[in-house]
Formats: sequence, C-alpha cells, structure tokens
Amino acid sequence: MKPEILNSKLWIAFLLYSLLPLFPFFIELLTSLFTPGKSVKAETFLITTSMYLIGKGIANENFLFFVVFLLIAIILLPLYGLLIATSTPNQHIFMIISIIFLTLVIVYSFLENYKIYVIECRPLEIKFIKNLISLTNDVNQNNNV
Amino acid sequence: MSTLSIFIVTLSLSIIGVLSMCLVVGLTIFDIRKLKKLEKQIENQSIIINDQQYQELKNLKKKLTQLSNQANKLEIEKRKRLIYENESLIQTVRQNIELYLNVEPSIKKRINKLLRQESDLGKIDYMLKIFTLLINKKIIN
Repeated sequence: MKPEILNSKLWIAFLLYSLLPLFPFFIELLTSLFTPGKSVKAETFLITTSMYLIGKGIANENFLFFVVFLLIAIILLPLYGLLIATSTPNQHIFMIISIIFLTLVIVYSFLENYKIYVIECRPLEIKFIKNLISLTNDVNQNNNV
Repeated sequence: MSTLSIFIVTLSLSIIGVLSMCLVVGLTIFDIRKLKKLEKQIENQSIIINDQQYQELKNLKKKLTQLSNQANKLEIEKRKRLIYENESLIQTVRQNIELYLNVEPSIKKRINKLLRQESDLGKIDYMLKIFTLLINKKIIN
C-alpha cells in the first residue's frame, strides 16, 4: 500500500499554495548564492515573511490562527520600516527572526495540507488546470469535426 | 523613543510571535494526531455481523466507490447534481457508520462533523475511508 505521505494531492497543494508564493524570494536567494558579494537583505526576508503570513492568515479557516498570523505580520512590518529608515547594525537578528517565522509557517502549511488532503480527504480544486483540460478537449473535438 | 528601545520592544514582540507560531504548529500536530488516533481506533474495532449484513455492507461500499470515482471526474456543478441524486445512498452509508461505530462520544462527534462537511466530494471520500476501515475487521457470525 502507498504511504500517505506520497499522496499527490498533498504535494501539488504544498507546491502551489505554499512554495509558489515564495518563488520570487527563492529566485533572489539563488541569484545571491551564485553572485559573489551579493546577499539577500534582511528587509527582503522581513517583507516576504510578513506578506506570506498575511496571505496564510487570510486563507485560514481557523480564526485563532488568522489572528496569530496577522499579529505576527503586524510585528514584522514595523521592523521592516525600522530597517529601511535607520541603519540598524543588528540586521542579522532580524534575518534570523524572519527565517524562524518563515520555516515555522512552511512547516505549518505542510501540516495543514496533510490534514486537509490526506486525512480529511477534501478535493483539490485547481480551476485553471481543469479549465485548461476542458479547453484542450474542446479543441480536439473541433479538430475531429 | 530611541531606536534602541524600539529595537528591544520589537525584538521581545518577535519572541512572543515565535512562541505563538510554535503554539499554532503544536495545535496542528495535536489535531492531526487526534484524527490519526481516531482512524486507528476504528481500524482496531471489530464488528460482529451476519453474512447477509456483510453482503449488504460490501454492496454499499462498492456503490460508494463507484460514486466517488464518478464524482472525481466531474466538474463542481455536475458533481453536486450527481451527489444530490445519490443522497439516499450517502444517508444509508452514514447511518451504517453511526450504527456500527463503537468509539468515544467525542470521537463520534468529530467523525459526524467530517461526514457532514461542506465539500461534497470530501464528504464521500472521507465516508469511504471510514467505511472501509470499519468493515475491514468484521467478524461474520
């Protein structure tokens, strides 16, 4: 029997809902890794984490989690402003804080997807993929006619 | 307010944030463990039925599997209609689950909530999962 962790719905949902919003950030991270003397700024970490948290909070079904995510984003946004406005020497601390939050939120996101798609067996509705499939079918039918 | 004091305040708030985030992750893990425990309890529960009852349950499972397969291929609107047309089958399966399920009332309440979830397809698939677990360890009288 296939292990539950290999469920395709879980991984598609995790890739689309959890990792895809972080795509620009990953690109910047990769670019900085291969470009000497360039590194991702603490501000980028902070703004990415706050926006990600706001998105996750709004999309959440649980009111308590929504409040927690929004509060954390509200805490992180002034930090972003502080970093932009002043040249704080302890930028690494902010970066570490952001990485911790980002890691926790990704872990949470994976667990939530596992609960929804593996345990509760809810369907994964990806409308654009379904539309694409139906559009291809229509084109094929027209070609046959 | 100096930059240092703002820095200290935001840093302490961040620590509170990290702790709350850990709480959120912890609560999610707790919920998953609870649901897994629930499945384990159903899996370990044996039901005593006669041959005729077993055949009926087997037929129900077959019909529900067919319905799930059919519904999975359809678009939302068509799927909703199909499920509405097969509501009597869903009701019968739900009644059977409620009849044979011998677990704690709190767990039973949680299962009933999931069996009545808004997402129709999720409801059928979850029902099928629980039903399969339930009739898996049958004792034919």
